[in-house]
Amino acid sequence: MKKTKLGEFEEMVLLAVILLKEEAYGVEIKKELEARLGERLSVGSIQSALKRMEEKGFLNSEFGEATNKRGGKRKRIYTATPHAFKVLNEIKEIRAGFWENIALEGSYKTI
Amino acid sequence: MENAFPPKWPGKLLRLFINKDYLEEIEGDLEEVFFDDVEHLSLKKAKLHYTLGVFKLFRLSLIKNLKWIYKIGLIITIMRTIKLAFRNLLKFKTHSGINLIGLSLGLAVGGLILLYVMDELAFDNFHEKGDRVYKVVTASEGGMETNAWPIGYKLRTEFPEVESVLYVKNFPSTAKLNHKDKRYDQTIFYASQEFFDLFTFDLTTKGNRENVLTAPYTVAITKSVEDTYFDGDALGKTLTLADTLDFEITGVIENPPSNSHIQFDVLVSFPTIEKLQWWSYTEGWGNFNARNYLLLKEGIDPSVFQVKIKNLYDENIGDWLDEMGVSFSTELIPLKDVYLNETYYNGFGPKGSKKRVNTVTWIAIFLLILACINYVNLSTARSSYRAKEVGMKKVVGSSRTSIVAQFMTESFLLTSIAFIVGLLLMYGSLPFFNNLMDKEYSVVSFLSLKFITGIVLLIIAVTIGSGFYPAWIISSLNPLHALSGKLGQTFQGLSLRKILITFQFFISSGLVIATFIVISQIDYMRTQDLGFEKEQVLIINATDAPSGSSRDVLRGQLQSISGVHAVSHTNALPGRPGWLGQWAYPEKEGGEQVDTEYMAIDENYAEVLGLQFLAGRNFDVERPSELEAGLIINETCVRAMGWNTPENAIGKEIVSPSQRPAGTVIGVVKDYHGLGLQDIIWPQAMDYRSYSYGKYFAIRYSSEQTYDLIKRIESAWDDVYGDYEFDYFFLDEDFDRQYREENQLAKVLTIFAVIILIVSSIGLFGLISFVALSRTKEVGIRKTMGASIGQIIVILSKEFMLLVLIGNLLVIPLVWHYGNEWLNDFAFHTSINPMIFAITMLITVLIAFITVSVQTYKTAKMNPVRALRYE
Repeated sequence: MKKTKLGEFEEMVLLAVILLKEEAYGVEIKKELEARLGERLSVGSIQSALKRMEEKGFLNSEFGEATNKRGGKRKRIYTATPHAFKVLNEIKEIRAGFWENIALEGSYKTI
Repeated sequence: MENAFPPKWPGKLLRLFINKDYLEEIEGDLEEVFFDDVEHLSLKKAKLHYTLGVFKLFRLSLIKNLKWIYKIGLIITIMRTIKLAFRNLLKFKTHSGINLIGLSLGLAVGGLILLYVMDELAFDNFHEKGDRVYKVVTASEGGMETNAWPIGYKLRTEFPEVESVLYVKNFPSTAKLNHKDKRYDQTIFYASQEFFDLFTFDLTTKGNRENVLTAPYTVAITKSVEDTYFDGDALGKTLTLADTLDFEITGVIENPPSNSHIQFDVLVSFPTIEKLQWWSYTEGWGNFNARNYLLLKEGIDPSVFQVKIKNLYDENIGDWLDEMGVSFSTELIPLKDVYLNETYYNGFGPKGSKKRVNTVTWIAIFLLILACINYVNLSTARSSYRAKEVGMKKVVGSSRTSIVAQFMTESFLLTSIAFIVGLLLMYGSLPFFNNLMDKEYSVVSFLSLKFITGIVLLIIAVTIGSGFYPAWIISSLNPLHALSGKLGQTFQGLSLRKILITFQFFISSGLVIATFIVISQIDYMRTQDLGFEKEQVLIINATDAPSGSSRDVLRGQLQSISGVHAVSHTNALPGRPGWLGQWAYPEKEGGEQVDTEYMAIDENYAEVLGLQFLAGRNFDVERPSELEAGLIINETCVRAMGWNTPENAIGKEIVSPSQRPAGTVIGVVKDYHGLGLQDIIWPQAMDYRSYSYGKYFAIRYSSEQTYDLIKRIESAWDDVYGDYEFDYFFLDEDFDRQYREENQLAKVLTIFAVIILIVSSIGLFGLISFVALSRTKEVGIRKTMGASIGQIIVILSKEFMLLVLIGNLLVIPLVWHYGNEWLNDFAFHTSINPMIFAITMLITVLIAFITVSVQTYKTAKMNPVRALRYE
């Protein structure tokens, strides 16, 4: 995994960003994750994960349009970098490798 | 929910801490979430979520200047500074201990006094319209808190600036009220219905605001009175005065808060006065017993209004007043100042003293300054020992600010620890403090926001006061000198230290002298010949018992008790004046008016008190005409009336506009002190015909078994007035009660003088240890040259003794001046005995000498070889 260092929660946020495409901004990401994880999240937790990942080069961002609902404040739309896709793929493969082996043994249930 | 908006303040908070680059986005997110929430949650919940959301944004990655924090590692620095500060405090245990004692005493005393002062200054702050309420008083010679009856009426009717005027009048102040068989003393006032317009005393029960205090024979009572007499609701029930007069209860009021200058149990409606006694708003210019408060309309400038009403008396009864040779004017006192006002007596409850507030405030400030001085002295004295540390730090690149910060942290840490110790001290000494100050504070009093703010400010002030100067000096060291050890003990700050020590003993000695002066005045007042014999006189207070012939019956029975010499029935006693300030004239009107104390006495009064007749004779039941029209006066009255000698006064006439005192002088008694020695001896006129106004039975006795005697007296009382409480006291104790305030002052001064002396002495103790240490080598050489231990102690101590002496000498003129000013407030006072100065000097020098020599002895005793090898 080298120096990828992607935390579990960060990974979820990253996946949500990719899924939401042009709708990938704070509140949407929050809603998406809340729906999938079944728990309430704070704006702060999402935002700090986004900022960290942007710092680490997993995300790019730019201002989107402003809406009335946000008191005239612009959204920031996030997109995943190629590096992020690469790292996500790596993680997926590593995990898949594990599960493959675990499934082949098929013994953990009997232990 | 069109008009739902998130709360404002969390947004402000957010803008403070969040990284500017993220602000727009995050604020937008929060608001969007808020508006989503509003659609399916209550507004309150949505707001709560919003606020919580803001707090959850406190994350390192989102906070402002995040990178700067990482670079400097501020938190780590702070942690390290605290750690270092702790190590340094522990390293110099004596030094820290001394500072800790000083600062915690200072903070404890400072905290308690802060509590007291804030409480005193906050009196009557709770009235909603308090800033527009004024007490109306009559300014004259001496000042009266009461007004002539029509004054309030004039204010009510003739001045559009006035919104409302309240009349209050003393009932006999306390009286017995009963409901069925429950009978208790209650504090009672007449009050007009405006009472509730002006003051914020809340009606608790269904008492209808419109009906309270409007009809005759109705009362409003406090919650505690309701609880005393009734199981449940008192509204509509009755209270009976003196078993004869029924009052209907039309209102129940919350108990007046303890920080109100008006304390009462029962308010009687004003229309009751009309029914009970003569009284007139428009005609009663000669009756000065109305108390008034007024409420100004909003926007009225009180100083302008004050000028407008100043001459109310002159405009209405100017001629009459001129004739009397007196002048009155109307004045206003803001409600908040009534409690602490020294001139106008507060007739409704507790009376504060601005002087006392000022005295204790200064004492607390001095004590804190002295504790800070200890810190400054010890830290600068110690600085040579820390020079290397500072030098080293500077060499490796420490900035001056960071060194100052380190030393300030030390003083802050010590102050905080001292505060915790001080808090324990405060808690422990609270009952004692309450007793001293006549207050009822509890731990709860510490919890008010105002007090906590005050304490925090105090801690900050003490931290800066103690820590800043040493930090500044030490951080100014040149690292080259510091590291080469060239600083020695002649490091700067030495002369400042001398000044500070002198100042400490200036304050300590000043306080000790002040204490001695107060005590000597109290002693003077106690031992002065009063002109009457106050010992072995027992007084029965019969104010509540019915008057009439039963009084004579009781007097007769008391007189027959063995051990009783004489019994007098009178309305006045030394310490409990009769009618003060009656106007009397010699013979014809037109002579000089004399302010007289007028008293009702019987033929035994002079005997009971041991008064001496200078001329004429006492009342005698054998001479009924003299009982009817005779007067006995005192020497001062003789002089005031312009009759040269007592003999000359016999047979002269006295008249007065109010008919009393009036009559022919039949006897003159030697002056005696009818009041405490704070007051002058008033001209006195005593007559027999007002005998029925008697309030007290004064009993002169001589008995070893006082207890048995009291039992016999009580049984005589029960025979006659079995229904009434037997309330007795001793004349000497009662008379000395007038010195309560002085006694309290003496106690306060003594305690604080001792504390301040302790703080100064331990400071000296700490300082001398450093000085002695830095002169170890010198001592070694002196000893090898043959100096004795005694000589060395003298050499090491004399400088400090000199400072203590100078402090003493400097303070003498100051205390002399203020001491005399204080003494001059007493009509009879002692003079300041110069011995007080000598004794104080001796005490302080002795204490300082003992402190110093304990340390210097240690140094002087050391083996010179070791001393010389030192380093």
